[in-house]
Amino acid sequence: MIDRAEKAGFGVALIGHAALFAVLSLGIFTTVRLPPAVNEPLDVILTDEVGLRSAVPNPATEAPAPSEAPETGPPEEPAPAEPTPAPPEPAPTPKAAEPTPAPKPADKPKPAEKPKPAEKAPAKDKEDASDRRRPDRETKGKAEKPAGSRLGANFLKGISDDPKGKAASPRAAVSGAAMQGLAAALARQFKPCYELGSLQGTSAMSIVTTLRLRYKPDGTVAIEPEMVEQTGVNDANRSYARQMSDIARRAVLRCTPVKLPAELYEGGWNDFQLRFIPSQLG
Amino acid sequence: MTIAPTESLLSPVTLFMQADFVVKAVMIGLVLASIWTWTIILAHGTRLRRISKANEAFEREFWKAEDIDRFYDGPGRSDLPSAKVFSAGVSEWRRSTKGDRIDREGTRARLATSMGVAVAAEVDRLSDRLNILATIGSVAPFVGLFGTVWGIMKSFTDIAAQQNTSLGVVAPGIAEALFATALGLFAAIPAVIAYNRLTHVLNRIEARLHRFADGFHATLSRELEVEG
Repeated sequence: MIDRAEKAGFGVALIGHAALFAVLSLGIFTTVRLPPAVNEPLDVILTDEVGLRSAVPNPATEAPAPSEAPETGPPEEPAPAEPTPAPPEPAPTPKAAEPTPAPKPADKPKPAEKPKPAEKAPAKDKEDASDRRRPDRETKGKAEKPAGSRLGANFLKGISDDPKGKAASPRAAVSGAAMQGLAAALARQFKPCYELGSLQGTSAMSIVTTLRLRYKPDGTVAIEPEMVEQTGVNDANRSYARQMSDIARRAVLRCTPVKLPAELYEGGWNDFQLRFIPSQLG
Repeated sequence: MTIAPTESLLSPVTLFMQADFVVKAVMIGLVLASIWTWTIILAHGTRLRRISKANEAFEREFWKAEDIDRFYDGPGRSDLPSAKVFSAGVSEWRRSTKGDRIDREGTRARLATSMGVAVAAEVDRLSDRLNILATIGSVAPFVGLFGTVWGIMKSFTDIAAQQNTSLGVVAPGIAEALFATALGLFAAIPAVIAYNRLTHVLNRIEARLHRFADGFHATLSRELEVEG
């Protein structure tokens, strides 16, 4: 049945197959296939709606901006109150003792008047009130100095420019309306990449995922989006929670770079939180 | 839920090890079929080419030979198809011309028949395993398809069981399943190509044998008239 030629052929065929399988197993052809699959698996799910959580939380988290605002307010009231009591006592005796109050009395005659109300203050409320008004006006007029002396450069500069980070002041500059506009623009841009796939219409749709996004000025993702919170998770859809956050993050990563107005970058879309609402996006 | 794109994912061994037992059986069968196919291709390809050349050489020798009887005792004894046809003709000739009375017509007919039979027998012998190639070529894709269908069925069962349609769950099973079809095609394509090619070579050999038989028959007929 089997002659010599067939034996030889069998040997060659066997060796050839073994070699072919060895080559395949060593992964020579594997490079072609899965690398793209990593991030581009079929899991693609569409999200159509992106709700923007206002940028407010971010500025709030940053101490500088809010802290200045309260300080600027109160200083005016306490300013007269505190300085008044302070100078009166030292005023007579040690001017040199307190360097800060020292200029006040020197510059202004008021401190001299103030001592009265201060001393009388406990006695007469009316005068105290009237006196307060005065110092207020005066402080407003010249008062940069006294306020300045207490608050330092912060008082003026704090409001206008300087403080600490650029972020603080510019952020305040991007209004809520502008942020809503940004949110709408982002929603449009993310929509094609937010693919719910088979989850469409399931209980997973009630999961709202909030991501913190940070972009570079060129619209590319600076830092991988991180999930801030998820709401709407219940027993029925708990198993989808992770998938929903993946879907949202994938939408962000796939639809990059985003095209947003550059003037709104600082304090606007450089770092913000975005809410992905599947029912609205889908 | 990302699919780890490990290198091993496409490795045949990995795909095989992960597969269902039915798919495994299909894969083993298809690999054996492929090995068998190539065995036949290599063995018969070389043999047919060798025989074809040897036939040509034999016929050249034959037409140059002066004495048929002496040629018959020499190279005519070989195992070649042409030699077989030749010896069938000579032996029939010897049997028919042994007696005193020679029936020329009958002898011619018998010579033609015996050489035709020899040609047919030789072609049969040469085409021995080609039917296997034809079978593998036509059946292997279906066997592979069966493995694929089975594997995909199993994948869907897994999906149903896990309530999860993510690609990570579905992909491996489908990759294994498709691997069965790949193997089926891997075995079938060479088989079909080789079958067509070898059949063509065999047809040429057969036509050449017929021409040789006819030529020899004509020679013997002439001889018959001379002797008569």
